[in-house]
Amino acid sequence: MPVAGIDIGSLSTEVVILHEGKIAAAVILPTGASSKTAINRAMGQALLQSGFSLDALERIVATGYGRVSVPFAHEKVTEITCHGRGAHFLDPAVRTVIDIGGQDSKVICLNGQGKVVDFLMNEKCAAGTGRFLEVMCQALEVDLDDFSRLAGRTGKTVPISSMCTVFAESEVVSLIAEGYPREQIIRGIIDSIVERTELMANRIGIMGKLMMTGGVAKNQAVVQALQEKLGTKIEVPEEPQLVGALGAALLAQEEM
Amino acid sequence: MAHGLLKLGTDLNQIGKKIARGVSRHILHWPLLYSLGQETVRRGLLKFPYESKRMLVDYGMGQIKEAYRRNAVLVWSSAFSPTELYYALGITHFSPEVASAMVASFGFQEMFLKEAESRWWGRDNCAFHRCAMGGVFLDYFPRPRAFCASTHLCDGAVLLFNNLAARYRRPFFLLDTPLKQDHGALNYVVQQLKSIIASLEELSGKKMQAEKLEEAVACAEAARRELEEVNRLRRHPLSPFNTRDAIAYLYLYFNGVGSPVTPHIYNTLAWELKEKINGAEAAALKPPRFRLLWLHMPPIYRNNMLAYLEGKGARAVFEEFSHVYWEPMDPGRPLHSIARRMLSHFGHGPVERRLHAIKTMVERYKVDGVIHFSHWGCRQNCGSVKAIRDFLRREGIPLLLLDGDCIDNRNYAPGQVQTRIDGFLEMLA
Repeated sequence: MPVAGIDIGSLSTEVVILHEGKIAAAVILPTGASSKTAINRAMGQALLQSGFSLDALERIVATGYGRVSVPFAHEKVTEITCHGRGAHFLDPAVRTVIDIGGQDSKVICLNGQGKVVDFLMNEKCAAGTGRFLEVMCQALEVDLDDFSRLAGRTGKTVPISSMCTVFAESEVVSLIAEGYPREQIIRGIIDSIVERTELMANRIGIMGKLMMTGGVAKNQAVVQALQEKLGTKIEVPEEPQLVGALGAALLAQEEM
Repeated sequence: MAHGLLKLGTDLNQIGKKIARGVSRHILHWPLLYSLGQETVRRGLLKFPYESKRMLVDYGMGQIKEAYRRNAVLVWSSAFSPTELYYALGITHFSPEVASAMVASFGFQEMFLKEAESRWWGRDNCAFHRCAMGGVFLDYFPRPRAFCASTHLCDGAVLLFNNLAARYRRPFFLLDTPLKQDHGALNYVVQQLKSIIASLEELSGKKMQAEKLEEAVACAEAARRELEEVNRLRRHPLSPFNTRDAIAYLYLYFNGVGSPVTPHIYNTLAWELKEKINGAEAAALKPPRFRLLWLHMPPIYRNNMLAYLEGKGARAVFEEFSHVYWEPMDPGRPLHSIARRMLSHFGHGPVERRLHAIKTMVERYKVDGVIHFSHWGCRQNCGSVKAIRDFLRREGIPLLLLDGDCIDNRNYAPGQVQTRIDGFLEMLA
């Protein structure tokens, strides 16, 4: 029987439909201004992709900050548990998950069964999250896709001292005006994200194999810098943004 | 024309606010208001979940009424300094930190906080103190004759009181509490208590009678025993009394030690808890799914944190401020007993003391997990987070760290807190 997981984040909404243990559909869409619209659109596309109707889905688990607004969800589970579950499914050897999403970042510790044993979330601030990265890209007039490529062009860094996203944005604007190359500013932004994540990872203590999930994991420059900072290899799944929805779908499957 | 009308509207709004503040200030300074409040409570016009809570509110209003009396010899006393001295001498005391908590519980904290911030009291300061300063600047609080603060548990209070004493030009009595618990430390505190008594005698024109001091300490000891009984009942799986209920009773912990009313209120609460537990057993109610220990205070402003936990089947069954950590007090040696209680506080001195107390509470109340609320600006509390985390991890007790503020609601994001709570409960499941 098909099941679905839906992850409504502040920046993107993902849906995964599982059927007979395999992924039958996977959709990623921007959340935009209305999470309700995003939920319906993402689910609609996933149903189209899989060929199932909404009624045919045996169980639906919603996660992410917008989990409470999914009218058709049978259960609501936090992204903490879902990312842990998804990461464990993709690689059972993983014991620590770093998830950097649109509005928060977290470090999750897992046991051998993929159960969360500890977690730590960022403070109530967007610094070091996907939103931070997005705002900085806008200030630099750079696409997210170009971000990693440009960072790879230089070894030099211009440090960004502001932690607050708004202040950091104006700092970046000032640095551009002062004539610093974009590549060096980008390296500074990456270092800023990495520093905050490293701090959190060190606070909780990295155990065993490490996986990074969430949209920011797609940014190779961030992953590379974090690897160097933490001194350990970071595994990144093929589609890190889907791990939360995948975990939700797996939980839906287990509940049946 | 439009600009002129807008300005006139703004000016009228400001004038209206000033008048409203002036009127409310005047009314609050009126002891009769609290007499009316007491009558309302006594006549049962307000509903309370516990009879003991009704008694508590009545008692609290009585104390506030006394504090606002024109000729009251009023001492502003920091939250952790001993109140037995005031009861023994028959003088009135007022805790600005407790007042801040009351202001927040009524939802007026923002006005107080903003007033303090507009006068350079930065948001990094503890909001209990910042809110109190706002109350001082707005002149809402009863006017003091003297100040008394102890150095243990809260170093910010000493600075606050020092500032206030200079502002009101009133004497400030400092009770320095050493970190050691040995004989020398005990005598040092006792000597200071004697000196403070002498100063209070001079201030009030009253002479401390030995039997009155013994009586106050006997009341403190009776309260300790009754509180232990309340706590013993809270261990019961069906005890409905949670941290949300307990916050109000902390008034007694801060303001009522040494009063003959305090043991009576605790005794009534114990009786009520017994009744409720018996009722729950008879009705075959189910115990909560998860039992939790709350470290430090929960937020006092209107919020749904503890209610949210209850809704999820988790109950904060105990909080560290209700922990009876001190040994029985001996009315025959009143000052030694007070000094010993102060020195033996688990939050004073090496962090191992707090860890030991947490271990005791975890075992005693059979909790499944611990929530540590890191109140912004409280260095004593937040400073021990790592030690607590490492300790609980070694003990295999799950811990949720919540950052927030007990008084200032302006950074409270319910969604963020709920995600953390949900994640924690999923972890416990």
